[in-house]
Amino acid sequence: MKDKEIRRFIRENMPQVHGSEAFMAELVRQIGQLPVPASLAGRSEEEKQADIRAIMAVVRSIKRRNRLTALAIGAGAAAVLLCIVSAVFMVPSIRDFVTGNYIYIAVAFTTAVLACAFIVPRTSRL
Amino acid sequence: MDRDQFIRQLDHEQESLRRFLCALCGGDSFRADDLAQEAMLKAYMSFERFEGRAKFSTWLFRIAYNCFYDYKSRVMRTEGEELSEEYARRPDESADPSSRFRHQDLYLAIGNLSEAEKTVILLFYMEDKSVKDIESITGMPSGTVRSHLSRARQHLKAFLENRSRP
Repeated sequence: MKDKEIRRFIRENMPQVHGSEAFMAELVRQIGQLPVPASLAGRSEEEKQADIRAIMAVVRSIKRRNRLTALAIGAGAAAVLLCIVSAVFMVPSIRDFVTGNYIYIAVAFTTAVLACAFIVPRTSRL
Repeated sequence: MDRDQFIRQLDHEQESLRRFLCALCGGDSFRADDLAQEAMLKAYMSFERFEGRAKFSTWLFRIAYNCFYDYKSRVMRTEGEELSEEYARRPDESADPSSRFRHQDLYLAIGNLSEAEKTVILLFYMEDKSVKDIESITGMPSGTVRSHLSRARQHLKAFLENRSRP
């Protein structure tokens, strides 16, 4: 007995499948109720790469903006500090005031820094 | 591939998949359709895992085979123990009667085979899958597939020879 005969026997006796249209209609109905997976959204590889490049460009611009903001704040703080220190050393009445109230001045300074730290991220927009 | 192309691919494969599962389920075409539907929905939801190294039909058959195995495990857990050999040889009693009797010969011929041998012989002879495809579908190594195929072939030869004797 040859392979061919086994194949023929199985082919002659294999179950016949009916109702393909009804089966597919029900399957399509069920698939319609599911979200379309990203892998089947029909986007080409080039489109996906373009999206990735656009996101990377936004990330780079945000980083650059943050860097510039940090530099501007640092420069402003250094200038203000320079003015204050100069005023303290050059004007005797201010020096006396600072010496007498340095605790309150330190608390006010800390509060101002913390308030900035909380407020600035909230106002940041993409 | 987009959703419509995917559905067209499923439409192309559904008949052979349902036939294979029907034969594995001993002629229970309702159970086979449930399993085929489960497998196709799983394939839809996990299409990103299809790497394109194997053919789409091979990948789909593998998912369906896993669904069938999960179903068998569930049945084993709920029903306790396996059927005795005498009953295991018989076609599924819960199957659609018209379908069961129409293909009685096939179920009698493969009824004595183990699950793995049955799977291998149906994939090889009924679905025309190559040994390499059967390896991918069942996860068995090539040598195991070949030995299952050889044993099942011997068994079928003996069955057909006995049948043709007057």
